[in-house]
Amino acid sequence: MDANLDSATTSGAWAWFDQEHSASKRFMISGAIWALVGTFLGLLAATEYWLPDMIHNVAWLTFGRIRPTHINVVAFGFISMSTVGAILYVIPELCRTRLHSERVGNILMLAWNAVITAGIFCLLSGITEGREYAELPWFLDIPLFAALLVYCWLVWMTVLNRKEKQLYVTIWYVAGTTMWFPIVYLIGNKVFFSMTGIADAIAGWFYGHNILGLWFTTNGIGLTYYFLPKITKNPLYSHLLSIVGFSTIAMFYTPTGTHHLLQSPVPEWLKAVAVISSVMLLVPVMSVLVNFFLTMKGKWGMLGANIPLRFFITAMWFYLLTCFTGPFQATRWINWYLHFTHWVVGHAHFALLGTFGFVAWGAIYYCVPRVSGRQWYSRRLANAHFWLSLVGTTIMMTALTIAGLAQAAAWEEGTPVYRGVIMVNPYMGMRAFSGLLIVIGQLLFVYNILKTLVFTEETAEGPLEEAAPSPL
Amino acid sequence: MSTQRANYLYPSIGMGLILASIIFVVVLVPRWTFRPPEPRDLRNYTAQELRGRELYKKEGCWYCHSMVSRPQDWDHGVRSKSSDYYFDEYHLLGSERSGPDLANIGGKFPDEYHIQHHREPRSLKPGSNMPRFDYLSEQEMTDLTAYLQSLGPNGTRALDPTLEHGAKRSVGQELYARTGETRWATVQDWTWEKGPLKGQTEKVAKWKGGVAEREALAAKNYDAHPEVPYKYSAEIEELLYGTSHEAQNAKTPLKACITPKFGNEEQVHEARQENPNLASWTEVSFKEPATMPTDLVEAKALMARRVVANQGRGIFNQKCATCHGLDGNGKGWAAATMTKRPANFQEDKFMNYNTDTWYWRISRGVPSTQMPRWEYTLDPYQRLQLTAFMKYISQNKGLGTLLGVEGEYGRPPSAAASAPAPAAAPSK
Repeated sequence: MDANLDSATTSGAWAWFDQEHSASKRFMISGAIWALVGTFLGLLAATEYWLPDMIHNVAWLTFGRIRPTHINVVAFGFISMSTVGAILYVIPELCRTRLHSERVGNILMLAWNAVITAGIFCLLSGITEGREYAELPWFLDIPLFAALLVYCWLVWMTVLNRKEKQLYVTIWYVAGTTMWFPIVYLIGNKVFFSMTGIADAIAGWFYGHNILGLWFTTNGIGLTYYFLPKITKNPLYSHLLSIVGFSTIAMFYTPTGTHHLLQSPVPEWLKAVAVISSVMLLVPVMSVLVNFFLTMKGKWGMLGANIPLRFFITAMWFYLLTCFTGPFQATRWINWYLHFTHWVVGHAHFALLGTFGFVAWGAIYYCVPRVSGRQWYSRRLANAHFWLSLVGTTIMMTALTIAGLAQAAAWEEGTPVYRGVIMVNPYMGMRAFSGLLIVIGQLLFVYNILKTLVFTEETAEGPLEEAAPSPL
Repeated sequence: MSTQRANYLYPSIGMGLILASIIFVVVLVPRWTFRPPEPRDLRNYTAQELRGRELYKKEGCWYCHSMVSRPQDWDHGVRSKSSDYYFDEYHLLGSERSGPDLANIGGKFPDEYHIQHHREPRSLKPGSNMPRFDYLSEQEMTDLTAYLQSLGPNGTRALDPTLEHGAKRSVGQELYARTGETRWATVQDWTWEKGPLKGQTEKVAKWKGGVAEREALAAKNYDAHPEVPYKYSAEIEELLYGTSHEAQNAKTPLKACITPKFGNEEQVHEARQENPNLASWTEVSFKEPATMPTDLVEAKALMARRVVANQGRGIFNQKCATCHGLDGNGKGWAAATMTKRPANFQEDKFMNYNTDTWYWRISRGVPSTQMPRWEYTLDPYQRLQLTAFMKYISQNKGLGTLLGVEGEYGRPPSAAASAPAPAAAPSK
């Protein structure tokens, strides 16, 4: 630890790498930029889906290549890097110590960005492994896995060298993730483990659902456990509920993957395990949400003035919707009706954009003033970012949910898939429009964060966490 | 520090063990125990098909096209089974269905259709939102098409499971080999010169004789005038089924009033030589006569028709009666759940349906209802048997003589029979 303190004052070649909170800050800037890139790719894909003749004869701009790029940039770039950035700030705070090594953190940030950049080029040029959420080729899987291990090491060393005796819930979640997720990643990316035929789908969806359950969820929920009591200055409502929520998440989240294959020829007992554990997911989810919403008791009025809090609470409402629909659409008969439709796409956006995207944005809005000592450049831009994202996400949910129900009803009635496509086309236009709103929001967000952290400009609009001086 | 860590050591180990045990159950146990058998009805991919499969993965086809035909799917062919994926190194099941499922696409369209559809999807399917893969080279296009044609029971990889292992499937392969070369030309000739697009050059340029358009036209025509049966067109059927009604008719010497079975050209020729005045299959009436014909030939023909209709009745009971009812009155068990009621075959309009219409209807199903396309499930011979039964129950308004079948040739309805009891079945 003394070595850490010394390193903070070193100058010379490593100075850029050793400033306190620099890794966290740069992770969050990267996350914000990837958010813009990722949502823009999503907008492009949505527009191509709606207007298929818009671009043609350009291989790397075809829908089939844009879509995985969008998913990987948003998942591994935007949400992962933003939450890791916030975690690198939150964990030392909770441990009353400093990050074990800022230098390693910064190198990690550079490597992570390099992998995402290389990933974009690979996916756009058609180098893909063809498994959802694991499209990156093996020569990027291995660096990303190594980066993951380094991140785990960083978290563990910080936690082990802590000065605070108690481990807060956030640390359980984050440290639990570091134990679980590398194994899941290894299975899903088939670097050292492979299955063939339809058994590959079992392993693929084990990973596909657990990147959500044991990476985005545990990181996002863990961060919210920190931010909500911190912002509202209310104590956490129930310690017991947090123990229940944490100890059941690995139990009930991990076997759910096969609910993506309920009508496929895979073993029935595996489907039964998946369906039962999907329904049991209500236990961790509801314990977490009850805990959060009761922690807010008496402080709901803060939502008007406090922009980061607004992001977290919005995320938790989206989480409520996601996790109420999720267990039910995983049951056999509802899945029978809804599987393969746009409903599922909408559900995925509920979880990743609506919930963990909003958590990531809220975390960045909260952490940036604390890691840099500077207030945000513009409160209005942050406000506009919130509303554009919220309205955009809501329109997207509405469009995709309606489209999914329409498709399901059409197929049930025997309408060919091709006519169903024509039928839902207006909703696809609606989705592209919602994507436009979200991308504009990201543009404002990136402008705001660059003005704040890189160009270090300030305005007199006041901090995000207090009432605005003007009506805006 | 050591006491601090001890507080959290056991919970940490516990958390790790939870994940380890679940991985054991849902990943490792399936890996050891779930071993689909090597299929008897599929061969491995060729190098070209594997190149096509790589392309299918690379261009992201699998994001919009699923590769599993589920039990609830209406028009995606036979249900997929685990051994169908035996030769796949990686799965391409997909998670969304923006386009049709492709598990059984092989043999459904000619190669030229696929290539044209990849280049210009909307020239064949207006309103489709499939991307244009016009940047693929000729070679890539051929590879991709070879992969698509290899899928499903009518694909080029399909083997006949009843034959010795490794033998080629006869029906699907032959159909494809026979029609693959010519069908595309048939489309264009028919559409431009004889079909409903005659003279409409700008529309022809836009549609280029797509299959979907003719389906849509036929369906539209049917919706507007359900009482008028389809105008049968051998070209359409040839195009859509890979075989035509007339081809089946030629193979099926029902016109000779013997139990139908696939016959070769010589047999048909012989039958015609023997009796050139035999009624054609299309015109055969299944109406029960008021009295048993005294003429021995006619009586034999009547009995033969009953036998065929009764064969179709078995298929009807298995496949159709759940919705249409055991005597075709449209009141099967499942009918209550349907928004569009199943047809009541005892209505008058069905008496006018000729053989072609029945065969077409059974094969194609009814768009926008739950009536399946039986061409995927029943072979042409079974569909002809079913056709005979449909003609029987619609023309006789019910099961008639077939109600209580006894012995080889059946006996008259026991109660309220309009027809007097026929004489004893003539001996063969």
